[in-house]
Amino acid sequence: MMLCQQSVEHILHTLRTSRSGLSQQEAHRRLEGFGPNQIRRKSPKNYRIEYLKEFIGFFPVLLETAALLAFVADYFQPGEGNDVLGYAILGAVFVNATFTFWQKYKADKAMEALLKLVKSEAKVIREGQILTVDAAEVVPGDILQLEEGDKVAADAILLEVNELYLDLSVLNGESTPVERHLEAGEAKRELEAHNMLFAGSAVTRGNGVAVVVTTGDATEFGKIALMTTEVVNTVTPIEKEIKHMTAILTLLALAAGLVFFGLGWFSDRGLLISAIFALSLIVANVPEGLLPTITLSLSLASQRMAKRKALVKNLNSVQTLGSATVICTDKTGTLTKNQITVKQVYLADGSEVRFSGNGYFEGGDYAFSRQVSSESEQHLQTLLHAAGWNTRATIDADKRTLSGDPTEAALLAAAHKGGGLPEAEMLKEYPFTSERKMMSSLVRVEGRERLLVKGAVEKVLPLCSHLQLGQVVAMNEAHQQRIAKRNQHLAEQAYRVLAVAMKEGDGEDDLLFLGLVAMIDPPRQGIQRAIKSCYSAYIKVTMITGDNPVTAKAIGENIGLRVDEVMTGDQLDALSNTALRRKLQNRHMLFARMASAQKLRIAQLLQANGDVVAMTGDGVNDAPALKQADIGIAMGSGTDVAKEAADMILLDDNFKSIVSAVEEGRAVYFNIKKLTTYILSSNVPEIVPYVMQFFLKIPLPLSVIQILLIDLGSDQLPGLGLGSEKPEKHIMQRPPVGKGEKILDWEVFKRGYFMNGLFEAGAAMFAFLGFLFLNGWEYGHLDISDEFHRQAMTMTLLGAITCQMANVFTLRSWEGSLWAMTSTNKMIWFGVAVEGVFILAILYVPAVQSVFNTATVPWQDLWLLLPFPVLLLLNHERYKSRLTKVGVQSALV
Amino acid sequence: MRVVSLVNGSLLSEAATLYAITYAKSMQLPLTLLFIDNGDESLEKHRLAVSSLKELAASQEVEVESVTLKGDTLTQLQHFSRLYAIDTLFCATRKFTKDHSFSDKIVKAGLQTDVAVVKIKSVPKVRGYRRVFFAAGDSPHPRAFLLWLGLLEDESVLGKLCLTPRSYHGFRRTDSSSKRQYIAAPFLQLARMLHKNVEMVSVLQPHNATELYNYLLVNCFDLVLFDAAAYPQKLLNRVTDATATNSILFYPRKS
Repeated sequence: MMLCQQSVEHILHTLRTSRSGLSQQEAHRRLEGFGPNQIRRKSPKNYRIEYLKEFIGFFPVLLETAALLAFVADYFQPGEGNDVLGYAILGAVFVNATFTFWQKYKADKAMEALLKLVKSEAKVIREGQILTVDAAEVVPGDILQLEEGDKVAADAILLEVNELYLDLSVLNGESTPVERHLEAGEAKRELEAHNMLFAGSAVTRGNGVAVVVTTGDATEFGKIALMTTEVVNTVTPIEKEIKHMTAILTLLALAAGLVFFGLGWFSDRGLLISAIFALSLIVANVPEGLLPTITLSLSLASQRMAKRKALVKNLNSVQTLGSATVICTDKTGTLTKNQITVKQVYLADGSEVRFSGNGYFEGGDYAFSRQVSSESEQHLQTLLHAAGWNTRATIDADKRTLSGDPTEAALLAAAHKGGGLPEAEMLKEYPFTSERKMMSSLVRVEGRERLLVKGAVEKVLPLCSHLQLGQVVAMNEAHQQRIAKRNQHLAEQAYRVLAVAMKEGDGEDDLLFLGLVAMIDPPRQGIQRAIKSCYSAYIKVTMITGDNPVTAKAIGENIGLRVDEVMTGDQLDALSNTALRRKLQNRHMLFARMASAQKLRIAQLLQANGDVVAMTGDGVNDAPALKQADIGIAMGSGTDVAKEAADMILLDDNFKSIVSAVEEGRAVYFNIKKLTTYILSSNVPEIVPYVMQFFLKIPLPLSVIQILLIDLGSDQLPGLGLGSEKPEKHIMQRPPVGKGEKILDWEVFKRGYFMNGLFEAGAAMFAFLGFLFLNGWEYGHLDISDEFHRQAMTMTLLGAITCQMANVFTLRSWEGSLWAMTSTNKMIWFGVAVEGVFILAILYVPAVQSVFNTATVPWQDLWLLLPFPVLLLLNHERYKSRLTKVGVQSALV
Repeated sequence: MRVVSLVNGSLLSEAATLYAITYAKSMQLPLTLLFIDNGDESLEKHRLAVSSLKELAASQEVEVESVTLKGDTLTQLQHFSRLYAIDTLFCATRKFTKDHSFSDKIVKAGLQTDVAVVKIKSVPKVRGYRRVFFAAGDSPHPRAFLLWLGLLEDESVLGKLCLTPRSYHGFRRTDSSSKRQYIAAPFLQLARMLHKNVEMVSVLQPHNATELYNYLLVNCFDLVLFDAAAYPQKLLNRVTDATATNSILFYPRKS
């Protein structure tokens, strides 16, 4: 027999405790034995190891090998500047690793701060005295004292109870508080026992005394939490992308290095020269600045998202949002304001009253939209008082707090709008249960006992024998049909409808019907626009709610959701996976009367259909579904377990913030595409001069240190500017980024290497050779120490940099015209200004010149730098406009 | 031979003794409640606990005696184990494994007895357990197997046998289902001859600590018995610290 099914005395005996509680000494001893009453968190990261990991990635190892080769070359051929190159490469590795680690560390710390548990306390009886202790110090055998508003610290069995109602939504997602009794009932497991209280739940009404049976991870709350904390995180698309990109670029670099090493070797240039040449090509091919720029771009996007109330826990999840094809969302608090408000009252005599104001604290008034008789006003007051007295909720308007059930609070708020609620003495209560779907209170008003009833129309109406017209008349079938019709009409308008009735004296029969109260949880402002924006972005929105199907459908349609079919939790359970997958694929589904646990199945089947799923949730029971979804979105007001399982936290619980986050996610995808193209473009003027020098036997146009200057210096800030570009105008009018779509695709290669890159290579070689020929060079070798050679190299360098200045502007939009852009990107302007400073420094500052092998170039030769940036910009703009035209034409076809 | 349970008046040791009573009853062996007074424990609490446990053992028709020794616990325990033939020594341990816990010292002391280290997470589950998982390594150790059978009080308690050959890092995928079944068959047949309700974990084989404790949770096990000699200690600590299920680590005597 389960412990909860045994007598109170037996339970106390088993736990070696008594009603006066444990002694302090015993409590301490048990704390040591059973451990603190806390949910175990993930083991903390070892940040030293995390930092070291940044040095052993694919890119860093490649660069470290390059540095090693440079030092080897310097050993065999000293004085060629290879040691400087080695140090420069190592410096780049160090900067990259430190920067990337710092971004991740900052994100982790921000998350930790957010998840830091608010120290919760519990009232326990120890040695006969009531003490307030840290909830973590509660042990099995402790006697808990619970009152309205308290959070239950551990799983416990009730010893005393006084109309105690528990909000178990964190465990089972059910928002209706459940009553607790001293008997377990016909429970097959502890979770079903009526005399058990569970950690994480909250007392919504009443009070009680309970003995703690399990603490920490062994509680039901802890078990669910445990199942989610250790689930291995899946690799995000951006992580896969980065791996894919680094693999391809590294292989390209190595292949180019090997080919040219082979060519050098076979053309009798000697092993060392060939190796150094190959090394230079590898350095030129590896986009050293790419990884930190991507990390920073993701970090900036997550900061922008945080400003839009969406906190991303893992930087890499940012881009996944851009791929979301389905958003599964809760209703209450996310699509709606979670402020149930009485909006209409339909009196028994047929009068209709409308109420203004939303929520519980905002004032408001009422006005008759249809007044049948002069007595209707009095009937309204009777109904509002009957509804207001028959609640346990309280509202503190000054502190803007409420306790109790939100529906009851709405009735109370309506009674206040109606002119206030006179005093009444509560005598007895017939509680609400999910079977009865109604509740009654026997009150004494002005010396007379009166039973007040409220509940579902289909439950209350059959109990009514009379109704309040001008006078009290017997209820007939026509009356009932009229009321039922009105109820249906209101429900179809998304209202939650309650019937209110009363009688003089006790007993839930022979009631006098007073009227219907229609309440609504108003949609959040701008929600329709947000949903419309999802549809135009080819994203399905699926509402998953605990509401009844009629209300859920009405609310859904009211806010602009496409609803082909409403399915309840029971229907879902009865459906096979194949049938459900088909429905999820072909229809716009709305799920009503759903338990949190059913979300997991929906997420899994959507994923099996190939969808990228964003799923919202707040309870501990939602955690597995949040973990399963491609993007788990926890509510800021949700449980810590949900937040820990999620990838993103909505600080304002608002659906609009999800849409903003999706927009940012898409922007990130394209921004990374743009900055990759930008960085690849500058690789070509770094590679081509080497190849030209090799085949044409011309002087070296660009040194390795100058390549690093471009990759790690001048390219960084403008690249970052591209990474922080705001979402483009039509980004939410295109389909989501497909799972198979790669950042580093043919388009990026084409634009980077073969379009803009070739212009840049042309610019660099035009400037180099143009300068040489204009200044009387004759075909032959030049020494790097020669001022003339360094001037020519400076021209190559400037050719690449000036083209990158034009490139960054034309890449601001991936598909649209630069001239059509209305927003300004300050970071790009700043980056270009810094590039200007770079140019001046390499032209005129001797210290810089000595490091980077540059020299002052006469200003009259600088015109050589002008044509190619302009050509590059015009060509890329022409290419984009042609792309757009083709796109429009194919769309028209 | 006797079953010995080390008691100190704490709720944990009392709960661990309940398993010892069940086992002693199944094996028809007497039970000794051994209290070693080292000056740190409350005698009054011990007396109360012992009288309650004696009552419970008597109701189960288990012959029970209580022995109190004075002095250093480990020394006295070694002395006691040399004097008497002990089948299994039950001792409770704390929720989280820490270095040099008392149970660790007992295990390392090389006593002439099998040791069952009991880690209690939920006291109610000790009284009414229904599902017992036995992680037996690549082949059940006969004495660990006996302990498992002994803990299966009657046919209403389901025992699940799991064969998970170990590797250096923890569990390793078993070679084949048929091989597992071949190894397990005689043990399961013996158990069924003794009217025990036993099954083999055949569908899912947990391959690491996380999978295992998720498996225990999802399948609502009330107790898990590990043949501690068959798995690395680090892995056992990880699983038993993390799981919400009560656990027993069985250390066979070193022959």
